[in-house]
Amino acid sequence: MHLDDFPKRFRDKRSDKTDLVATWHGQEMLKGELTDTFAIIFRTRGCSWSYRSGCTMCGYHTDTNPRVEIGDLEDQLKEAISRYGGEDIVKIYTSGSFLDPNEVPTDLSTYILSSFDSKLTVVESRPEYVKPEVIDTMTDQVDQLEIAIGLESANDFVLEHCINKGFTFSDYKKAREIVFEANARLRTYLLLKPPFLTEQEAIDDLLYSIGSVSHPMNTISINPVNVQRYSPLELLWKRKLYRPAWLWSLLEVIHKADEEMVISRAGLGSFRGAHNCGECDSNIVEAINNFFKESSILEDISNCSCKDEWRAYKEFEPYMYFRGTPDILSDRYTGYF
Amino acid sequence: MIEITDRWGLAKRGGWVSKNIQVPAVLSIHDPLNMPGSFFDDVDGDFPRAFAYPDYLGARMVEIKDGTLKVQPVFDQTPDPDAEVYILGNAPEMMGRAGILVDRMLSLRRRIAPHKLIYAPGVASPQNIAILTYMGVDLFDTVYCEYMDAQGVELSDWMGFPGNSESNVDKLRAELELVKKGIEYGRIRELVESRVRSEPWMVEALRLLDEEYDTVSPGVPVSGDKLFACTRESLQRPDILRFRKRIKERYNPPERKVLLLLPCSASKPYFNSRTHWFIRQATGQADWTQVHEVVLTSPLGAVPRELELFYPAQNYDIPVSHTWFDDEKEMVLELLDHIMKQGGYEHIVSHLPSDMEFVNHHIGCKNTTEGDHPTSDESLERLKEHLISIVGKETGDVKNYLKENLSNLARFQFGPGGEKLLEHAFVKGRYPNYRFIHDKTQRGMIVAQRGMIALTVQGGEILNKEGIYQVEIDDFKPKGTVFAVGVKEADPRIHPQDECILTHEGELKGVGKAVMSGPEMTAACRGGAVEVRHYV
Repeated sequence: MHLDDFPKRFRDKRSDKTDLVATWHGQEMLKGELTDTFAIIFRTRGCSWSYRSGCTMCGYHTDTNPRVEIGDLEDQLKEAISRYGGEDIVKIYTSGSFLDPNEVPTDLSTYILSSFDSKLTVVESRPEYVKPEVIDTMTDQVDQLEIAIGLESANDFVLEHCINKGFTFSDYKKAREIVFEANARLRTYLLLKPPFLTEQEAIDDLLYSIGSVSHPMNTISINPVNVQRYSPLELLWKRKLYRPAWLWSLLEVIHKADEEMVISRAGLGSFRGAHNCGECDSNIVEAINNFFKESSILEDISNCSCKDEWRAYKEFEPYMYFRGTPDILSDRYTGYF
Repeated sequence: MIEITDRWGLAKRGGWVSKNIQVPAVLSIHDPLNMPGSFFDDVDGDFPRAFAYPDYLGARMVEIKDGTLKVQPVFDQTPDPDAEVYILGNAPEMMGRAGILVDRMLSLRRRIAPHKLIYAPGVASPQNIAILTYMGVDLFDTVYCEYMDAQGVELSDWMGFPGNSESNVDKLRAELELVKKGIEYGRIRELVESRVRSEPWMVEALRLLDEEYDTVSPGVPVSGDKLFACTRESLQRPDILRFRKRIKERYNPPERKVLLLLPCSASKPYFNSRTHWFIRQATGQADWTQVHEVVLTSPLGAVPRELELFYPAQNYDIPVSHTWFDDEKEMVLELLDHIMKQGGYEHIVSHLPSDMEFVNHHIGCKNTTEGDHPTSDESLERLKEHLISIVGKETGDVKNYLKENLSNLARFQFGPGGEKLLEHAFVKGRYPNYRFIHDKTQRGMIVAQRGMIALTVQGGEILNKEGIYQVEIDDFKPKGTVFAVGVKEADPRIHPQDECILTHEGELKGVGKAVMSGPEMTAACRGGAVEVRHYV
């Protein structure tokens, strides 16, 4: 089986529901102040890329329904408005691109944006749907618009081969220009440990990516990869070929990166998400959850004995799996035989 | 250049001639292996589209050429025949998945020469290197053991448990020494059978390997020292299975009036045992040349008297609890049926102990022990009387009896055509040291300890005419040892320790004892292939 065969086998796991996927209330820092957030996930037909190919770590297609109609989306909006408590940050997600007119017709998306009275509104999109006319229309509807793009990695090799992202870093940069031209903010998702990278490679890749996208108008969001149902990654994971990142790796990135960033909490400390030995996980996850309020909290994390195990894992993992260029493999065995 | 000195099945022992490295070996990742670079150094380079792991994503191979020795990491591609070391790229993925592991290992081994080496990175532990070596892995590393050190897991040859061990690598190396000894002394199978018991997947792997007789068996010697068949898997060992297969494929019973079924004895060969001595006293009073004796036993099934010396008939030992398992019974009856069908016996006499009642039940014949011990006075008397009542007291044609027996041994050893060795010959000597002679020249003799016929040049001429067990060599006078480099082609039926003949363009050049299998001497270019006994 080849990576390209995955979509056929997995992308048909879609839903037949027509209601909202979820809404939730939370907190986030905005201009140095702790601010309430309201997040909505609309159930749309889903990410266009997931119909054509799809990303290796993505299982969000299970929250989509190809038969969702405009009337369903309007019902979902009514439901969302009824749950809205006037939070200053509103995040509007689909399991795809909010800016893709095939998912949310432009008239409706404009109307959705105008329905909430927030200081900051976040919507997500792949870069190909970030177009000047769309962004301009949208910025008129809200106080401050933030376009979130799942870049995942600034390394084209990782984008193409590890994630199968379907766009390149330069596509992202073009979208970024458009966003900044329109005086909108940008949010960039970066993955910690995409499939096929070793732990150390994943740390290096993330630090490199953080450095590459750093910008005052850009919020960097770190997403430690969690193993989602019906994703290609789940197959790797089930075959013990993938271990979600260690929390120690996440902490290392947080310590080493100079940029401000937010950490996605999805799956943290669980078996399918970034985790350590099981003993120290809850303490570290709690610290990470609160670090946006008080960053010094991470300094106080006490070492667990599994930190040595993590160091050893980083050391030995490259030898366990055969992966690399002919030159790398050649270097590795030169002089031995 | 790799030279193999000992082999048993797919397991082998040897070394690099120039570098003083022995195989099987445990490589250390600290020295002289280098840490692999990160592939980020090479992002713009020509990186394969498919990753080298996992295998089921259709990974592609990468090649390494390093001066004199070519090393090739392989997944499921066609291996390059020029490489000397093949690296099983996705070994850790296959641990615990016996079916895939055995399938991949054997399909790789079938496509590369028997003496080529296979390296399984990242998997070796004291528990699994015995079975991995047995399935043909030659090179291991310390990665897994060191990682377990870091995890605070103390490994042993049967399980891992929490501990503050820093010595997993030492344990791995100690186990490696045992594995090497096992190969050297031909006892690797017993070591494997005891080690695999610690985890079900390893037993599975061994059972699956035993189903791959055609791939594993060529490298298994046809003679050896002790053989302990202590487990259920022992019943399917390649050397034991080979004996049973040969009974069906290479053996025709002699033409005798009576088939006499006997129990096996603890001491081997059978004829040396007390039980069989007593039985001989009884049968000797009737015309024993009309009686064909067959010993029924596990795990060999049925051992005709003529073959009682042939490995492993005089070498095996099994735990005897007087309880027969169904698969043992089935095996015994299957071979017995075969012998009964092939032989034109008028009478079948069973002289078996009570725990072998299932045999009498199966064929419904006269049982002369009547449930007594086979060596009790009463049962021996009944055996004697019954035989006399069938064949009389007068001893028949002893010369023909001996010739038939030896002819059967020759056919068992060399396959169809082997019996020609006894054509027009007569047998001389005292059992078991028989010589067979034609026209005042000896063609061969039984070497009791090896349990087989050793040939003279005259015997070799006969096999040459039959075109069997030939090793075609370059044109030289073979003395001492013929090395693999001098072998052009060899009969694939030849196993290590087999008697074979050396020929050049149809002309007999000598006779000797094979050190490696036929396929291996054809493929290899180093190492002794045949120890020459006589040359022309």
